Amino acid sequence: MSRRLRRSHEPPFWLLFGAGGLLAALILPAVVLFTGLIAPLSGRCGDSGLLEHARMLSLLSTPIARLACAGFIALLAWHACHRIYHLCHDLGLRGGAGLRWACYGTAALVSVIGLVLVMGLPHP
Amino acid sequence: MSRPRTWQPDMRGWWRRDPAYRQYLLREATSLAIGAYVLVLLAGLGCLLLGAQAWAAWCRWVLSPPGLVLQAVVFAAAVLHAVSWFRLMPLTLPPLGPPGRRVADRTLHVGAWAASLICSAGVLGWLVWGA
Repeated sequence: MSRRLRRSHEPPFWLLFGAGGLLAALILPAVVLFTGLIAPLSGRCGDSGLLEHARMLSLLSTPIARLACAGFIALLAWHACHRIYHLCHDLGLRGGAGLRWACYGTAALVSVIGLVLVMGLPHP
Repeated sequence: MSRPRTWQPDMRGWWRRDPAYRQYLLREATSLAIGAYVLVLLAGLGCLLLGAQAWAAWCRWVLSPPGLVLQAVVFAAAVLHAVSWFRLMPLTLPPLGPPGRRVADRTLHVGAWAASLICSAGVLGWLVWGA
């Protein structure tokens, strides 16, 4: 270890994990209920009803809605990847730095892809 | 010089020792379902961008038996996650309230579930009536 005390990597990741966990606890059941039950009951999938293509685009037409959607996906990804990393450790998997890079790298990749996709959505 | 040999506990099968360990493992495993659902949502976003045909394919998958089973599992995991997250909140939150006085656990739990109810209603309202 260097003369200066090494700082832990943990706090920023824990912050993202905590934010994602809180978000998931607050609204994830409702979102799953929507995609898995309410939307399919509302009409033929994709053509009519709540999941109609044009309707989804207009739902995601404002910058705030797009940012919220991308943020939701990103924070959930950080939450899940952080827990999966520690789950591997708890189960005796010694992945070391490679496992850490794989887990948090996946979360970062998902965040970036989500943001790019949301910004590229056409306006209805 | 060789490394000093210290006692190391045998951790193999540690979850078999106590039901609380298995509950902990189950709680941590909810992240697998949540992670899978994140990928489903990301794929949906991509299909939405690609056009109506790709979007319809995504919708069909979400409605297919594997999609519905996955979402049932994710829903159960999400509820379990919410229950455990809110139950642990008095331990994970920094101390609230005036110095020397703690906010009662019960107040925190009721507040958390009320917030969850309001946020869920808001999100569902936006998804159903938003456009």
